[in-house]
Formats: sequence, C-alpha cells, structure tokens
Amino acid sequence: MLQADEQKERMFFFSNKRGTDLLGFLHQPLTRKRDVGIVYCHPFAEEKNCSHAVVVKAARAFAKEGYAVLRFDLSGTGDSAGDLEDMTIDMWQDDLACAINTLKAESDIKVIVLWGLRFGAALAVKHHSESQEIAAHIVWHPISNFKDYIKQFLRQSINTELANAISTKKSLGVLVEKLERGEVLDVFGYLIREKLYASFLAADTWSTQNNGPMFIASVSPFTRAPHTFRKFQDDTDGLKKNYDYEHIVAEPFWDRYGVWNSPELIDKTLDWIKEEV
Amino acid sequence: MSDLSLEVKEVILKTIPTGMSRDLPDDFKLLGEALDSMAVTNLILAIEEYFGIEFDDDDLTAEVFETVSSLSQLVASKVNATG
Repeated sequence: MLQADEQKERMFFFSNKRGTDLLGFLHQPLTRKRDVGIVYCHPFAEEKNCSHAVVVKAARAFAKEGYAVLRFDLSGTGDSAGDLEDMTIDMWQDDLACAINTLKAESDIKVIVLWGLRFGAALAVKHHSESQEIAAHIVWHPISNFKDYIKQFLRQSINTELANAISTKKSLGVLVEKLERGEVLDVFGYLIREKLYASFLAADTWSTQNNGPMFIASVSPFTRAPHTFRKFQDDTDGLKKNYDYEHIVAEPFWDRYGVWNSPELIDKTLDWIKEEV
Repeated sequence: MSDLSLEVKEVILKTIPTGMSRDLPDDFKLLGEALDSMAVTNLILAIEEYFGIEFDDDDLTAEVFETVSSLSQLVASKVNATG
C-alpha cells in the first residue's frame, strides 16, 4: 500500500489556448528519481468514471517509482469548463498539448510519456503522430478507431430499450439523422451534437507507425486476446515492431463499476516503463 | 452442445451478472433478468471482441437477446458467415 508521504498530490486548474480552465491533478514524487513525466488521457463518457479508481492507483504507483504524473479532465468533461456537446477531437488534441506543456513547466522535465485508456489511448497516439515530441506511449485497451467507437457509443441508447425488452424503432441511422438535423442526443446523460460526432468520423485510425516505443495492453477475462488485438498483431506481423503487447487476463475496469484494481496491468506497465524509458 | 454455444455461455458468465457461476441453461432468460442497459452494451461488445463479429442494427432485437439459445444462434450464423 502506498503511503501518503511517498508523493505529493495537488489539484489545480490550468488554461488551454482557448482560455478554458482544465482541471489537473499532479502526482509529484517526493524524491524525483527520473527525469520523465507521464501525462494521462482519460476515456470517453462513463468509462472515465468507471476507471477512475484503477487509474489513480496506477498514477500513484508510477509516482512512487519517481515519475511525475499529470491527470487532467478534457474540456467539457469532468470538472473542466465547457460543455461536451460543443467539443471536437481537435479541441481535445489542443487540451492534451497544453497538459504536456503544463507538466513540463510544473515539474521541470523534458521527457514526456503519454498514457491513455480506451478513447484516451487513441487520442494520445494520434497526438504523437502529429507532434513527434513524445518519448513513449502506454496504451491501455485502445479503441480500434474513432469512427466505430462513436457509433458503438450512440448504440447504447438503443440498448437501453433492448434491455427493457421493448421493440425499438431506433437504429443508428435514425440517431445519425437526428444529429444531422441539429438535434442534441442524450446518451446516458452525455449530450452529443453533430459537430462532435463528425469529428470522430473524420479522425484517422491510430497507428503504431511513426511513433516511438509503445506498450499496448488488452484486458479481458478470457485467456484468448480480443479479436481486434489478435488482428492488430497479424497486421503488423513482418513489420518492424516498435511496440510490446501484453494481454492481461482480468476483469475490465472501464465498462462497469466495482472493479477497483488491476494489479497485473499496473505492474507490467511499470516494468515496461522502467525498462524502456 | 456445440463448442460455440459453450463459448457464448462463457462470455455471458464472465461479462454480465447472471447470478450463476456455471451451467447456464440454454433457456436462461437474459432480458428482464440479467441484463440492464450497461450489461447489454458490455455483452454486445464482449461477444464482438471475442468472436470477431459485428452486430447490425437489425440484430439488436428483444427476440435475439431473449435467451442464451437465441443469442447463440445469431452468433453461430455470424461466425459461419465470416468463415
């Protein structure tokens, strides 16, 4: 168990380039053993809340090993200013760039590792492809691509009726038509507008190419890795590999409440950072 | 019982709260018993990820998700279609 005196934790606000206040949470090691900082990108919507406990445990474990860690809320999410319905992926890319600069300034470090979960992992890898300033990536169970992910997300409002055994007239097509007409969709309390949906459709699929070293982890209760990760390995077979991949057999912690730790995932991630960065 | 049906049961048992640890019967009712909206979403994603298939809008019906058996039949048809 991590003791409170092994690190300092501080909550603060910083501004993005649009002047929006973003909530930051800094895990600062008391004794900085390494000149490396880690910026965390959270997942989308409810996955952010479900995964919070595990992410905090991981951030504390990284700080205990001497890494400064910055967690922050993207604009329009959590306790940062702004409304989700007004956001786009490009705006969140800008937020991430500001978070990187903030950690550099707060901790006086130059080497940055980006760490993300699900949507946040894809956002982090996309950022690196465009900026080339990141030393490494920690990629936890990334979404396969932005386009399919937002469709899966919208589909949840259909699933609500399905769970109640109601014959639904809803379909993804109907939901998209509503967005295109300018309506705001309420998906489990998350308001989605066409601009945000369109930005997911337009965003490139993330890739390991043109990136530095990467640790990719999938998590599922099955010994067989999820299909998208098996396919990803097949697709990159024969190419020069710049990533290490681990499949962790454990309960997912981002799509349900009640899973408060993922020790093997945290330990293997930490081992990788210490080895590679 | 086919291997695929057993695999579907394993995915269900490990993904949603059925209140059963094993031996899920074919006629076990999913809707109204085991599935709320979050569980439906998780089950769909878990099946898609495990089998490498994709559900269409037309597949998301109360009839398909009524029992373990009806869900297994759809998964089998999709797995066979993808070869």
